Amino acid sequence: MIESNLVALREEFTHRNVLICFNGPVSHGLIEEIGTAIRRYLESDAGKGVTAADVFAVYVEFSQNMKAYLERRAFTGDRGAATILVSREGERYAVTAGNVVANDDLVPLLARVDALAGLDAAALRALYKQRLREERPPGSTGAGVGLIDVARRSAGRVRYATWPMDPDHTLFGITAVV
Amino acid sequence: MNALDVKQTKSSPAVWFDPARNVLGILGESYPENSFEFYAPLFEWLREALPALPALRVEINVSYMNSSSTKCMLDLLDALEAAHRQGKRVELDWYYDRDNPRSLDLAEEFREDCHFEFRTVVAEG
Repeated sequence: MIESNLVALREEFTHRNVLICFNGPVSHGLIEEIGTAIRRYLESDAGKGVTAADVFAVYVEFSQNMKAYLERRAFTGDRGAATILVSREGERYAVTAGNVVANDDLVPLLARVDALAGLDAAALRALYKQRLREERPPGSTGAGVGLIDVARRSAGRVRYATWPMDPDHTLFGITAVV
Repeated sequence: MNALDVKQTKSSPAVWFDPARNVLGILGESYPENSFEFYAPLFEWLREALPALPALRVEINVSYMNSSSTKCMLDLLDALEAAHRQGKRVELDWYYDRDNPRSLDLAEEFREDCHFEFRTVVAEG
């Protein structure tokens, strides 16, 4: 039963300063609703201004990326679950997104995140502008600049970690601190 | 003449054209499920209606836009810039949030490539 783990679950959330956590299939409606919850929470916690806007923006980019990817790969059930966490890290907020990735997609994904790591604000801005003007690949639902947008809003580099799930799939977790 | 009147939702802005004032308005937040589909009617309207308009005023008050919407917005500004280059009178009022410096940064990034009249205005409330 879920309650037999309740103490451990609460301790984990408390220890990690988790404000909001979701794990499951994401629809557009759910992304909207969780977004509203995040906003309401931040209004009482951080007030208006840059931070609240950045947390919301990073959350939207991550969650929409996950939704688009999981749909494109037609992942369902446990494999189709998206994990979203908003937690406190010191004075800042951390937004974490986790989803299963097919191993074929993993290397290009990590390369894209790695490519952003060494870039300063001016370089990120230039890359963003350049990418924004490039032609979209056919069938794409995004502009291809979501990660760059997240990197621009992040304090420090965007972090990630991976865990093998089975011979063909890996769990990918990404965190931006705002 | 096509009417343009898209209602606002939680994740998508109202988009309308007011023929009495020759004003194109966009108001709300923009993170729809598919930005390109969402903004398609606007681009279709522009293609059909803009050539016949003597001038166009645009009012944009979008307090948040996701990266896909930013791409669509850039496409809109490019269309306005093209109209301006062809001699059409184009003006834009871009509303921003005084409490959020990023909101003004965004406006100014968009303004960089525009040569028509592009004003930034503090949004009320």
